[in-house]
Amino acid sequence: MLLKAKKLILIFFALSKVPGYILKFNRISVQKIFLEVENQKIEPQKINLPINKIIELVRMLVLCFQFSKNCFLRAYVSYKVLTDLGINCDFYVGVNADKKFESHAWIQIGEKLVLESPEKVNKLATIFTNKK
Amino acid sequence: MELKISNSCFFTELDEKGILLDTSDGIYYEFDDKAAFIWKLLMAEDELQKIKALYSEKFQISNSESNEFIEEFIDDLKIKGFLI
Repeated sequence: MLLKAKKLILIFFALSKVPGYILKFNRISVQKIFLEVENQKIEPQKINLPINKIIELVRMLVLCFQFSKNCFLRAYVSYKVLTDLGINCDFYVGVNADKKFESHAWIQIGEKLVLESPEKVNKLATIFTNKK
Repeated sequence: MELKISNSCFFTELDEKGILLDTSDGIYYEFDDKAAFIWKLLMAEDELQKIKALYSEKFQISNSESNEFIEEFIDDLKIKGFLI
């Protein structure tokens, strides 16, 4: 019971930062945002958190605050929230290898995609990641 | 003339070439070595005159050719909203 309450409090505080991250993404250059992601330090936590539910909530909040489905914004905010919660994840940007000139940003935990379809991501050539 | 790169642009180098990503619509552009060279100088906030001189020196072309190419390239970037 106590652990569940602790998890909820942690998630609540992490999600409360979402508007701030959206503002930051809109204010500073993407080049700087990616540099920040590259240098982000994570303090891993041992609590198991419902990652997919958290990301669904993040996406909903991004849609509410920004009316946007921009994958870069979504991935950045998701990345920041997960790292705030001590979840070790990696940020990726890829471009469509079949020359449609489309790009996409997404989050992975190890090799596992977070709420992304493998069919979509497998077509992309990674041009940026913070994975060491 | 002061040129500012749009906040939504992300540039990454691939060998001598480059990829410019417009994160506002997710479309990317492939830059050849010449465009990548100019873009990197624009990122370093070098003055236009200096960029023209460096470009002419690097690619062994006349100043007038360099001026013409760079002006045209910058106009294109402005039209697409990458430069403000």
